[in-house]
Formats: sequence, structure tokens, C-alpha cells
Amino acid sequence: MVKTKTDPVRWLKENLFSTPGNAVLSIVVVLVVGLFFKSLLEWSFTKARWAVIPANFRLLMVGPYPLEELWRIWASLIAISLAAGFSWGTSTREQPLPRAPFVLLGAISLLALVWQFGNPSGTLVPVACAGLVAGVFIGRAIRTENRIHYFLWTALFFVCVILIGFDFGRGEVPSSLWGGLLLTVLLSVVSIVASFPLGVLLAIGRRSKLPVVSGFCIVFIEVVRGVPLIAVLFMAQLFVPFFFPPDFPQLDKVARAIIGMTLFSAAYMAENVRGGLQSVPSGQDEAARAIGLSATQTLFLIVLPQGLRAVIPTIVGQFIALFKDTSLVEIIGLTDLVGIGEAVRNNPDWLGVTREIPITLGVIYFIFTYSMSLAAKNLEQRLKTSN
Amino acid sequence: MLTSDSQINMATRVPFYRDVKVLAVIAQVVFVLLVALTIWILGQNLNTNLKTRNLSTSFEFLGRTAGFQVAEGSAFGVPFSSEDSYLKAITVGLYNTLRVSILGIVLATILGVVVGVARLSSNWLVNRIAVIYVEVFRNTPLLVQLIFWYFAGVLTLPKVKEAAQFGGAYLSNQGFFMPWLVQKPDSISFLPVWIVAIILAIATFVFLERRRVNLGSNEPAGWIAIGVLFIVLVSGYFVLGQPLELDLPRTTNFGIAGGASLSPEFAALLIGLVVYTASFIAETVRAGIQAVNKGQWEAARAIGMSYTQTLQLIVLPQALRVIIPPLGNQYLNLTKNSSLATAIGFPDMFNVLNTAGNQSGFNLQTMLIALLVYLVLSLTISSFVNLYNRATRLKTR
Repeated sequence: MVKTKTDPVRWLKENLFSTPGNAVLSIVVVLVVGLFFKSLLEWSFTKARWAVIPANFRLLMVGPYPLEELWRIWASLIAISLAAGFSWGTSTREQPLPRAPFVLLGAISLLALVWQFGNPSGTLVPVACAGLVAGVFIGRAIRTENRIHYFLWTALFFVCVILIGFDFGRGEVPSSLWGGLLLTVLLSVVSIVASFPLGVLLAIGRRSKLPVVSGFCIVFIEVVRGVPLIAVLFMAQLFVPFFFPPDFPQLDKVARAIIGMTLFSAAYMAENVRGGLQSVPSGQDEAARAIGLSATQTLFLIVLPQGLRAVIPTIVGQFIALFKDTSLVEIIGLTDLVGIGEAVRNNPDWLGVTREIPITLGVIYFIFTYSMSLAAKNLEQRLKTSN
Repeated sequence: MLTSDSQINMATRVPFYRDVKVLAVIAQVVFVLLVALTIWILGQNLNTNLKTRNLSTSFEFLGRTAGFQVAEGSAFGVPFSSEDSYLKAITVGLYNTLRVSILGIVLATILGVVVGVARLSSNWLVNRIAVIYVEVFRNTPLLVQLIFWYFAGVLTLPKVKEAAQFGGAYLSNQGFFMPWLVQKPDSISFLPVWIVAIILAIATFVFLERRRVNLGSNEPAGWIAIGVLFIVLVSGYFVLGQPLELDLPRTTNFGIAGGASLSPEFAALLIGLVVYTASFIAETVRAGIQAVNKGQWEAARAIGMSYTQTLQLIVLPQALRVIIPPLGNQYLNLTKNSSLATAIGFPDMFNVLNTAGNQSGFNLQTMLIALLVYLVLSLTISSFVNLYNRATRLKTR
């Protein structure tokens, strides 16, 4: 595609003033949007008390997580950035190294150094960024199989969960002390990971030719999908303990929330996976049976790998939805990002500060979900071209 | 190798453990047994737990006095007081859920279609704003948006005494108030006129549409139907001796009285649901319009149709087929999301059920009711969507 430089007057004429109606529309929109941004800027520079955010930054990020145990989170973060860099590096090995992301990482590190000088986050953010860069170079240097990513990330998932919660001589960090963004990310990642096998099983069950099995799966999927998540969460909080023997140790709130979200997410996962399985042409199935594979072999070696591959972008989309939906745990009294935000808003020290916190929370959620949706789009494109 | 006939027969007969039909039955029996075993174990645990905690499983509490006030709404017209039963309180909650859902669905559809069409506009500015709108509201949690609309939006409006006022309507932190037509005391009920008018308008529309399809005539059926509605309403008003009057809201010592009002909670919930859902509907509409083959546009323009005619008669009917199923899903989501009302204290059904459960201790029963009612609502909406789908399906003869 040849990109020609158009002069601004022509561009304006073509894009904003092509017809009289369009011209009027443009002017009205400029006026309305201008007024909106003027009052927004005026508010955010004169009336808004943005100090509430830095003052409660640690709370928003990790909640009441004990200060002396924060190294666990930093260690997980550095491990994750190394692994992310590694995966990124290996998957782009054939392409030239882009410059923009590194400039961005450098800028973030510099900002953290200047803004938080002397604080642990002032040194650890650059370390995490350096880990990411190191990962990229390691990934580009080493020849690996694609399969290593699955092992790496599965292992990392367990390592991080253990690192964040378990006992290392100085006692464990109970889940009641997890909070803020940490809890939001943990809830959504654990739930989506746990719901994956369940969802695949349900999807297979729903496609089963055995009426009892498919009937059971259909009823489960449709009932869960017909009920709001908040009802599922409340039910999990109230009734999960009822289904365990009385002498069974009491599950904590976070675990119950995870159970609820996993069951909820599994029903949606099942429908997504089913879509993927249906996209595998029936010739694949017939060919596999013709060369003598059993029904189980056909499913696990032929149909599932292809179906799941096709459905990866959809699963990212579901993860985005789940990530947003974790905010509902605030209503059942957990201190996730929104829960902490509400606690700060109700803090008498910050009386009258109402807009700053929801706006900041919105921005944090947006950064996560938008970058994930860009990644999903990218992935979809790559899957399309590789087929 | 020599084999006799009978041996061959023996060999070709499939043993029962390799017979697909027998295997299927066995697999199902095993599955049923496993499920039954799980349910039995869970049921046993549930039973012992219920016994040790002294919880009952009967629904008789529904008849007891609720003892709590529901902030707004009525049991479909019958006012509610705290002396009424739990069942009635739950009915009020259901009424509130339906109220906000139906209003939300209508408004979200309108806003969503506008934004979706704006997203395809050739005007760069309009296009960009629609994109920003969609991305911002789709990518942030509804709960955060609701908290924003309620605590940072509606509640920060001026107090009643200083309420913003335009054209007889008031905007204050105690809600929105606007002039409304109400029944005059001692006058003939106007409700039948509404019913007759709506039925006549729908009949006109259906008749004209049939005629259009059969004869190819070209009346603007929608406009004529709206005209019929309007004429019937106005003539009914005069025939019944002007039974309606305009009720203007006015400030009193206790707040604002008269007219129609939206409570702050209702307003925030409605705004939140509409703005959030519209961003999803906009994407659905955009995808639907883009799914229509470009050749359809070009062919319609080539046979001399105007832009509006093309959109109305060629593109939209085809786009609708793509749009309707996901749109139905969005309606379902909106209805389910209305349960977030709990976060801002609007007494929707889930909130009322939760309060009732906590207060009476019959949490198990109230949650079961919630489950059932939401399921019924979901099934109702999806069956409406399926009906529409069937009616507009491509008819291949």
C-alpha cells in the first residue's frame, strides 16, 4: 500500500466536511466534546484531590498484604516478567527486534527510579523490566519447542500461588490478607485456569451421543448461564460449607469465591470450547477413525488440539470478561481492587473524594483489559495466517 | 487354517463388551451412578449440616411478616408496607427488576444502534468518538461504572433546595423529577385507551407490512402505525372527557413532590446499565451491518435506490439476521446485570431476596427463588429471541 501525504485542508474536507450535514455534525461534536474536556481538565487540575491515589497506592495494589512479606510478590513479578520476556522472545525470533517496547520499559524504569527513589518499588520496577528484557534475549538465543511454553507457564502458575500464600519459615500469608490488584489478578487467573478442564469436559459431554451425559451437561451449562454471577457468588459463600462434612476445615472466603467463579466460568468456557470443536471439519474425525484410531484417541489427538487452537482468542476474550467480573467479589465483602477502592472512598480522611477513585480503578482495569484484547486480536490474526 | 462354519459365526459375532450399543448403555449407567453417588454424598453432608445448624427447608416463611421496608416500587401497583409478607416484598423486588430491565433494554438498544451506526460514519470525528465510547465502557467493569454513576454522579448533584431546573423538570441528589400526565380524580380510567391504541397500531403495522410484502406497495408502515397510535390516544382523551392532567413537580419543605420521579439509585442503575450495554450493542450492530455484502449496497444503489432506502430496505433487514441473536444475549446480560443493584442499594429482586434471607435465616430458600426467577427470565428472553429468529430466518423455497 502506498501511503501518500495528504494536505490537512483536503483531509479536513474529506473527513469532516464532506457534506453540509457532516459539517454541521462535526461542528456540534467539536463543541460538545470540547466543553466536556474543558470541564474535565478544569476539574482534574483544580478541584480533584489526586493525592488520594499515591497515599493509598500500596493498598490498591496489594491490599492489607504484610509489608515484610512483600518480597514474595516482587519475586513472583520478576519470575513472571522473565517468563513473559522469554515467551515473547521465542515467538518473535524470526522478526527483527522492535525498538518501541524497550523504550517504553526504559521510560517506566526511569520513572519508577525518580518517583520512588529509595523505596523498594523504585528499584524493583527496573529489575522487573530488566528481567523482561533479559527474557527476550534468552528466548531469542535458545532453540526451543513450542511445547515448553505450556510447561513453563503451568509451572510458573503453581510457583507464584505457592510463593504468595505458603509458609516459608515465617508463617504463611492467609488469603484474608490478600487484596487490591493482587487479589483481582489471582482470582481471575486461578478461576480461568481451574475452569478450563471443567469447561472442556462439559463441552465434550454436551456433544456426547449418550443422552444422559449430554442432558446433564446441558442442564448445568444453561442453568449457570441463566443466573447472574452475583447470585452464584452469594450461593458459593453461603452453601459451599454445607456440602462438606461438618468436621472438614472451613474454607475461607477467597476459596469459596474461587469455587463460585470457576463453576460460573466453566459454563461459558464449555460453550466457547464447543464452538471450537464444531469448527473442526467432520472429515478430520472420519479420517482419524478410518486409519484406525479409537473414539477416545480421535477426540484427544485429532479433534481437541485443532478445536482448542481455534478457540484461543475467544478464551482470551472470556478471560477479559472474567477479569472485569471479579470486581463483583466486592459485594460479598472481599478486598479486591474495587473493595479497597470503596474502603478508601469511605475513609473519613478522604471525605468528599468520590470521582478520583472510580476513575483510577477504571483506568487500571482498562490498561489490563485493553492490552489483553489487543493481544487477542494479534493472536487471532496469527492463527488465521498460520492455517 | 481350517475352521468350521460355526467357528466363523462365533468369530464374527461381536462380543458384548465391544458392542457399541451395550457400551453406550453401560457408560450411561456408570455416569448416572457416579452423579447419583456425588449428589448423595453432598446431600448427606447438606442434611447433617442443616440439622446441626437447625435450618429448615420449608418455604412457609414466605407468608410471614417481612418487617423491613422496601425503599421503592410496588407489588405491580399494590403499595408495600413493612407489615406485608416476605412474598410481597419479593414481588416488589421482581417489579423493580423488570422495571429497570425493560426500560434499560429499550434505552440501551436506541443508544447502541446510534453508536454502532456512528462507528461506521464517514465523519472522522464521529467515528473516533464512537470508538472511544465503545472501548472505554466495554473494557471497564460495570460495578466500577455503577459506583461512579451513583456516588460520583447522581449523589453529587445539587441538593433539593438548589435543584437544577429546566422546563418544569428537577435534577437533584434526591432524584430526577419531571412533569407527568396523571389521571384526574373521579375520572374514567385512561388505561383501556392505551391498550386499544397499542393493539390498533400493531395491527396496522402488521397489515401494511403484509401488504408491502405481497403487493410490493411502498407505504411507510412504521410512521402510519405511530400516527394511528397518536390519533387513537388524542381522540380517546377527548371522548372520555379529558381524564388526564399534567402533574408538575414542585418543591415542598420535605423535598420535591408530584410528577414522575426517578430515585437516585434507580437513575444510577439505569444509566450504568444502559451505557455499559449500549457499548456491546454498538459492536453487535456494527458487525451486523459490516456483514452485509458490499455488493448489496452497490446493487441497490445501481437500481436507483436512495441511501436511506438502501439502508432501510436492503441492508438493515439482512443485518438484523446477524444482529438479533447476540442482541438477545445482551438483553439477557442486562437483565442479569441489574442484580448489581445490590452494590448501590437499589431494591431489585436479588437485593430484596438477600435482605429477606439474611433477616429470616432462610438463605437457602431465597437463593433458590433467585435461581428460579432468573432462569425463568432468561428462558423468556431467549424464547422471544428464538421466535423472532424463526420469523426472520432466510426462507429457502
